[in-house]
Amino acid sequence: SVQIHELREYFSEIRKTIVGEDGNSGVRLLKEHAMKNIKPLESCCFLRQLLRFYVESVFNRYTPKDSQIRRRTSSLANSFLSINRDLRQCNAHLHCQCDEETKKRIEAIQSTFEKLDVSAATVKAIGELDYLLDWIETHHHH
Amino acid sequence: LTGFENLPAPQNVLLSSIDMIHLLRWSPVFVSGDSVRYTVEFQGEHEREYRNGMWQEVLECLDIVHPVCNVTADISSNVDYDLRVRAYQEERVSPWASIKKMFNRQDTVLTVPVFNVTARKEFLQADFTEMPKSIVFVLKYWPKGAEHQAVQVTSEQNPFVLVQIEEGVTYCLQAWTHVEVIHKSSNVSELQCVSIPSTLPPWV
Repeated sequence: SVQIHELREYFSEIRKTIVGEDGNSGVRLLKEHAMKNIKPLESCCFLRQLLRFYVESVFNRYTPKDSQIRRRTSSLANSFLSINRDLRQCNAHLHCQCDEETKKRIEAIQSTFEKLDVSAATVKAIGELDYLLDWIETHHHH
Repeated sequence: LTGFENLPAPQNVLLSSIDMIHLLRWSPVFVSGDSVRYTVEFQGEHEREYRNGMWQEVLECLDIVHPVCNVTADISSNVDYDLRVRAYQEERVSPWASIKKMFNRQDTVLTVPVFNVTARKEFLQADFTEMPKSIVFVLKYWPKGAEHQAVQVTSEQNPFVLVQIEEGVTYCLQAWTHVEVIHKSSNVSELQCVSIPSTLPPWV
């Protein structure tokens, strides 16, 4: 939870700019129904897949011009990597393999993402980090 | 040195980290003519693995004169970071010089906290020397000779004010620091014992 506190600090430094750049406010990647009612045993796997999506599909394709945004995007990306490594250990214990339903939730997020052009999609995904951080705090506290 | 890069690279590039303040240092490059300036860059695991080994500028260390750079703002997660520096003088530029071993903030050295204790009738106050906000102080105190009654308090506020105390009792205190994001604590401080003044005359 402390790392989430750090993530919130990093994101708060760039939120206004990034959300302001989102030209597709009618589209939402992390839809409420996709993030709701995930079975406790599935939340570890769901989170790992979501963090991996951000690391491998979002942050690495996001190329901001502003140096401060570049700095904080790097902080977020590297933090996601570090958290995912911690989760790998948790995953090893819980042996939680994603079930079909969880896979579908992740695929739905990815397909919405792929429908937008890369620049718009990465801005939207990063702009929605509050939803992700809220979800992590809710699901990874209990 | 090849053509354009005819400035020697900085030497002795070292990263020192104490209490979560991460400083990159190097030996200055001595050449005749105008002053030499330096630029520092960093690379986290994400840049290495997912951004084709991209390097990022340390914003506070672009074209700096002094051979030291505070990289704390960029060492901002628990992955391994690489750091490099190069020198400039007019059109001349040096090769990059990197730290020998990649740095992880979990290797920061946490020093034992220094604190002053003030005893009043109604409270005990512990004043600590300032630390970065990622560091919290942990204070343990107990009536002298009764360590089994020790109370442990953690606080980001400084100073600590302890009100659950009794007049005329001598209290002993020890402290250490803790950094939650790296799950690490410092060593414990020396014991400090102070007596709480009493309103009753000693013969009572």
